[in-house]
Amino acid sequence: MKRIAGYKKIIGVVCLAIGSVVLLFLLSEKEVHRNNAFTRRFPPHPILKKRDFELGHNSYYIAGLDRGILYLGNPTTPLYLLKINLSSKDTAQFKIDIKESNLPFRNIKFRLYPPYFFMLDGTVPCIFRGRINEWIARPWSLDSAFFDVAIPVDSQRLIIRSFDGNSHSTILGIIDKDTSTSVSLKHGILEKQIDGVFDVDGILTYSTEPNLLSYVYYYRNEYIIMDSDLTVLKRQQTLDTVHKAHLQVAPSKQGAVTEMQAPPLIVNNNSSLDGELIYTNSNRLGKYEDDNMLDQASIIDVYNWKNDIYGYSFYLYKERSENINEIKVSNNTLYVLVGNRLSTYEIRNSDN
Amino acid sequence: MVTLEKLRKNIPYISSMLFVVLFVYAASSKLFDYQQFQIQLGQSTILTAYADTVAWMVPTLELVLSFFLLFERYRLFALYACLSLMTMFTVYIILILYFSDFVPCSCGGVLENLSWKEHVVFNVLFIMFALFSILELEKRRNSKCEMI
Repeated sequence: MKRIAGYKKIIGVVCLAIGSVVLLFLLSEKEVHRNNAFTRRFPPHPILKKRDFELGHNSYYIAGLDRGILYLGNPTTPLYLLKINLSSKDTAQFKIDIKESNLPFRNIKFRLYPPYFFMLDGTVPCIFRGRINEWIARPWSLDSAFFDVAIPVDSQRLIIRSFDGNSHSTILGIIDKDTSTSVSLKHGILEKQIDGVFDVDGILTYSTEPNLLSYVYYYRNEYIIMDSDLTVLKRQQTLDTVHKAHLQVAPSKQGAVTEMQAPPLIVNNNSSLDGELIYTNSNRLGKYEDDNMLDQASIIDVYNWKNDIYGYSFYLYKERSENINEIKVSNNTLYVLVGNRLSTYEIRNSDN
Repeated sequence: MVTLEKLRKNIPYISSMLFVVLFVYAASSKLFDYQQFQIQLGQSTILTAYADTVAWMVPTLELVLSFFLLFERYRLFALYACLSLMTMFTVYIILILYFSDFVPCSCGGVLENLSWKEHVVFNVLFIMFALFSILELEKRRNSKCEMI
């Protein structure tokens, strides 16, 4: 001991240092991931995998579904759509023909409303429309309002998510060709908790049968069901217990923009509405759930919004590094964009 | 051999000064852009819940330690603290590299330009400085005791 003086102290100090950081890390992890206040139900075999399509890229989004054909768009090749015939497995890429293409497009998205397709860019802002199978996009509404999300709910009407300068908050609205006021913003649907922009962020989805929309907040356990006039039918809670968004936002030094100060606690990552059922993808663990599960799978929870009940949950298996980009449920078929793949599943447990 | 002996004798002093330069530099660059630092810490996914506290504690600690390192009387104590702080930084980096989904940096100044591997090497180098200095000082203290 005399030979190497102080080695005990050194080892003590180093162990203490390592221990304290690891402890902080574990505590922080626990707070973010686990919530012991709710319990999920996992019935056996609620879904059956049907097919996998290798897409080669992970940036696709679902533009829409029409008569057994799924259309995918991709922001890296904005004017092309990928068409996947779900029964014959044929895939083909094709280009959309635009009339009037000298606009400063930055964020083009396609959305189908059979027999039409819409080409949307809320940064311009502009909306083009054309017929499916002709694939010629003609100007339909220019300079209506800026938006970041737009979903057609009728051949003449779109629901948009926009920014309201007066209240400095995110707001839902309607663009309608049949009425005289082309854009009407609806206050009071998205409920402000912190800043009205970050905290109300979420997923807007649409279901054709019946003609309804859902808005699922990212950062709180709530979803809203609306009809196509944006009348709120229901406001309901998911299983999770976080009803106030855990967000820290701060104005940046330059003052003009607001920044997130910490990674937010995401309660709902993805969602899809299909008739009376709403599917949400949440990566929050409930009671009695295995920690390692999140490495192998994502959790989908199913709710019946009409009766305000939680139905059941199931796992979507995936590779560790893959993310679920989008889910869509239509007629008991679940479409999942995960990593470089599109997977389709049959939902068998639909009686809940 | 004489130079080696000289180096061994002076290593506590040399490494203390290196630590002072490092800490004063790092702390001030953090404090000059405090908000940025706080945001980066918060985004680290590791200390999220404690980002606020850690954000002001780290630069303060760095400055206080630099102060104590200047005086021979407190040097040994301060070096222990440096050793522990550097170990903590290193563990933090390793945890981020292996367990975090994305990697933000909150080191401040030119240190931000180091790659993560370089960062670990850099830290380990400083840990070595602290280690050798402590061993040297402890040895000196012990031999003093024996003489008395």
